[in-house]
Amino acid sequence: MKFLTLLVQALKKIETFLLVSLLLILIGFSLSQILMRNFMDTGFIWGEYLIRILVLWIGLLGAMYAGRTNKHIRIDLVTHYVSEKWQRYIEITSNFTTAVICGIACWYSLLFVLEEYEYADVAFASVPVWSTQIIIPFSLAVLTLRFLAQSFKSAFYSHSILKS
Amino acid sequence: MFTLIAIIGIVLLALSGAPLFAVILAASMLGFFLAGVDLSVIAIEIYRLTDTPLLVALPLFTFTGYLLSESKASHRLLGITEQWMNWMPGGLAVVALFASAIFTAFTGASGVTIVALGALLYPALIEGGYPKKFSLGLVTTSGSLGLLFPPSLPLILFGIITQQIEVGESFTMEQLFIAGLVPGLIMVVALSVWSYWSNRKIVNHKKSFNWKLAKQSLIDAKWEFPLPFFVLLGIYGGFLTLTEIAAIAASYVFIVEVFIYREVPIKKLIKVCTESMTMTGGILIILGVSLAFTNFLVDAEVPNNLFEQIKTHIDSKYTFLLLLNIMLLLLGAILDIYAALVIVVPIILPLAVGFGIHPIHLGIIFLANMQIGYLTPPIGMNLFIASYRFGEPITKIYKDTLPFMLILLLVLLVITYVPVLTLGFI
Repeated sequence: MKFLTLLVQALKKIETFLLVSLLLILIGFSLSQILMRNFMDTGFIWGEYLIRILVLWIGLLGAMYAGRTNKHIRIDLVTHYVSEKWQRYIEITSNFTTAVICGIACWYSLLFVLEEYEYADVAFASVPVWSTQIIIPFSLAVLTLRFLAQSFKSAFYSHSILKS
Repeated sequence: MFTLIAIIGIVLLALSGAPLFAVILAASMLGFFLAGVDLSVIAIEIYRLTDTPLLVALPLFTFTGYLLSESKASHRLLGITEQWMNWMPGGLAVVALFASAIFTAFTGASGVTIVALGALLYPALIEGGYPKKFSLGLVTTSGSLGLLFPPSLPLILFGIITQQIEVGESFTMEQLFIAGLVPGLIMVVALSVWSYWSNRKIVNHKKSFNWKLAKQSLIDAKWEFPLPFFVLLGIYGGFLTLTEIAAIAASYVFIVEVFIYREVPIKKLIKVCTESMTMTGGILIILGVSLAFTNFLVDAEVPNNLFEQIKTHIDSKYTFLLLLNIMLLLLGAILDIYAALVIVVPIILPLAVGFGIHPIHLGIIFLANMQIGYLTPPIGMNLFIASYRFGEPITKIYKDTLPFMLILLLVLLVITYVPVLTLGFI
């Protein structure tokens, strides 16, 4: 159990590191593209593609992160108006259903990426398309696990423990 | 039967507070499943996020805004507006409104204006002799003021979404930014006039203009002061693209706040990165799955059918606009502005264009409604943030905000029925 906790902690650190460094790369790279284009009349032809792929990766990593910190955009109507007991039941079901939905989407995205892997198209430079898409099933898989965990947490721990 | 149960299930899921991206994902997967389309299409649609070059402005401006609100930029902005505008009668309230509008345009209406700027303005207003009720209402209202000014994220997002749908007259981002100026200014001015008028008996002492202090406030903010001018000049001057401006603004603010003012240490910087990208990710994933959902709707000819249906009951553009406003106000009360933009715009844009409404006009009306939605119960976000920040019950805040909301509603009507205010300058 202790090993598992450590592993999860390490993975979380890697996730944060990836998100922060990709964002800083995005900022630095887009600035350098502008400078090169305007002052040296050059620039990488694939620069534009790289930026768009970076945005996709940062977006989906951010979405994973939102699952970790429970910050996804939702209609926050019910939680303000029902008792704590009902809140908990609703939380368990809605998180579990969300996990199922993400799971299904993950499975079909994975099939799609595997297909792309067989076509072996190139996205830019010599980067194959499938490797830029792999983040889609990956982030959905992480979201599935996170919502499952949320659902179990509300099911097996009482609210008071969670809040503290 | 299965379809009906599934649809009810999805609606219940949305109401029970499940993440909206999952709700839309479920709806589009159901739609494609029933139409016999392979569900791998979901990944293809999410990957379409990479087809939009403008999208990079979203993470960059979000990061810039979060970084600005984490530094003491709000103090310095307040310093400038205070020193330069306080000589006017009722100046402090006007200062509060203008400073908030500028701050919100840069940080997006994520409630950060109330937390960062409102927290400074509220005690200042009380000290200046304004009643508590008025001050609380003003600070709550100003949390979403400035949405119509560039580079506000909702404005940019509206542009991105409409460019993807390609319905109606095409327009440039620059035109959209020009269109928001006058309606946004009318809002700020109308609120200023009311603030002055309703406090005319209380606030008659003017402060004198102090050249030395005014100069000092500019020197204090000498690194941030050029930023709004650069952004506005870049956008309206037309010599930089929006994504270039976003990249330069993000790098510039990064250098200024982290290395020159040194107000954001590395540890905090990591927090700024993850929090701003959490928000970006939350929006982008909804945008991604909504691309799928919109495609399904268009394939099923839902917008066309909806238009035909509505056309049989309403034939006047003006009736349609009125109903549109009522619907958007209700929507704004329960839905986050970004989610509303991404989910609703693809559906109503074809309707509005069918009734002869210019897409830009629709965008300004839409955002003005959402801005008011921040102030309407049951879940207007500004009400909750102000209640949390100032420790007052939400019902009291709602009552205090009411007069401000009524003025904004009035302005909304003007914007809606006098399109020349929006379209006259583009």
